[in-house]
Amino acid sequence: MERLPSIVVAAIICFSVASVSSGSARLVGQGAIDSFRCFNLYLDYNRAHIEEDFVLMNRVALQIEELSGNSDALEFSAYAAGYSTSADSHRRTDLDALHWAQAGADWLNSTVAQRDKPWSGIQLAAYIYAERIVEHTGSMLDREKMLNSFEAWLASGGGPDAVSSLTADSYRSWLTTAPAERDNYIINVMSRKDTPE
Amino acid sequence: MLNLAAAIFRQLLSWPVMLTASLWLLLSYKLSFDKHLGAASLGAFLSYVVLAHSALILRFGYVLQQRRQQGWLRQDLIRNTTARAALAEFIAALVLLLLFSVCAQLLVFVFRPEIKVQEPAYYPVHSQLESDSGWTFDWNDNIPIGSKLCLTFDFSNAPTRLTESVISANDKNMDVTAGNILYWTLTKDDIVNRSIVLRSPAEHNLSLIRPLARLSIERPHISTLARLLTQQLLFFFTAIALCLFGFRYLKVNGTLAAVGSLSVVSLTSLQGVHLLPDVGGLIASGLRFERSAFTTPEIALLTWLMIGGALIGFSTKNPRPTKK
Repeated sequence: MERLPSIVVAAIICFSVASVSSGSARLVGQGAIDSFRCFNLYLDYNRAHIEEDFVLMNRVALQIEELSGNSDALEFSAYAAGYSTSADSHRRTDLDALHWAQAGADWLNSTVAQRDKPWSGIQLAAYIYAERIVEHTGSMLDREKMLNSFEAWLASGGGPDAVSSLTADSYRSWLTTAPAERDNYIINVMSRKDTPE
Repeated sequence: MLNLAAAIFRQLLSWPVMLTASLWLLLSYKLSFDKHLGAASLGAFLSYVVLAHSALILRFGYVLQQRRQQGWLRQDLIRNTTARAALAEFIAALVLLLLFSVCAQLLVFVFRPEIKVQEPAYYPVHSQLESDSGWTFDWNDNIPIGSKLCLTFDFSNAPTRLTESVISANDKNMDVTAGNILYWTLTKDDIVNRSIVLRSPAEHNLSLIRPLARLSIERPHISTLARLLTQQLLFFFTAIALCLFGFRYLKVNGTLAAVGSLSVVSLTSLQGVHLLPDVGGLIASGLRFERSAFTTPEIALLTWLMIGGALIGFSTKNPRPTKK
């Protein structure tokens, strides 16, 4: 009986550890562990970027997103893989460039609902489809994805960080266009806009 | 009693502990705010302070156990000074945490770290169709007052040339223009209910772009650090009381009592089960701290402090006799 309180306290500790490991509770101080892990992940991410290891960049970016809620790294990995290094100036083979462009677009499309700020990413996805994929494959499905992404981006007026009356005006003009002409209107607007940076 | 508290405080804050705490504080600052290394996040800094507070509570447990081994508890019993001794131990531990918080605040006050422009933070929000022209949004935790829903509407199926509509909930209406994001400020009731239903006129045939629906939460400014640190102290008030209760009343080993108290207070964040008052927001920290900062209901805070007070009360009683 003398040891009963100690046994109860030990049982509470075990229950807490089990709750933390199952993800239903957070340990006091776990934020510090996550912050430090995130700090280290950024170092790995930068190293992967220098080595142009896009798969690793994306994997690390997903972990950063999960820990910090910040999806900038995720979008940049898609940009690096699917847009910037797929340009002609990088002298990749067409097949290789197309492969990475599709990977970048897939990374963006599959995480729209989970990214903290998805607006610039959907614009980027639209441009990856337009300039790196549809031009080479001519796929109607990819064209549809491009149009849908860009339409959503126009509807958001560029997103909270890049609010633009020109984008909002373009969307309103698009609405007044006859349904049969809407796709061409979007393609015209895309060709006028600056490419993503 | 104050002399005794000062003596215990000196025992708690030995030179190695003081040196480690100072180094930890500097490292925390560097990791959190350094231009090249850090995340420039107040939440990261707060998380390192929380970890230091937890370590100091472990130190408190260790010192309590040392005092037991030195025979002080038996002395208290013989002299009938248990109440004063327990209170002195509690005050010493609380002052130790307070001192660390003050140093953290001073460090930030003196060096004034540069934090990027205070943009709001965005979080995905669960939404579902309520009807053809209505949507339910819900979230499963406390969010700060002033949070907004950030919504993008698709007007492509609306009647020709319609570029403006109205979104409504209960008695509140708000105009929405095609091509502009709608920011819907949540009321206190919405935040307490953790859900809201928004509707648009059925004839306008608007559709919500659900993957783009977000909760927009303002990040606390760096000037709120003092308030955030005070909230941490209120949280650890009961943690210290729990440690003392385990050690003095239940006669558990000091270190075990400290680990136990940290385990118990960790359960405030247990999802779905409300074993303890919902005070997890008091130690809002980490890279997503804005979501839970300043969300603790007053009644929960009051209950938490009352639990702490009651535990201190129990700790001041003479321990039950040991059977031989």
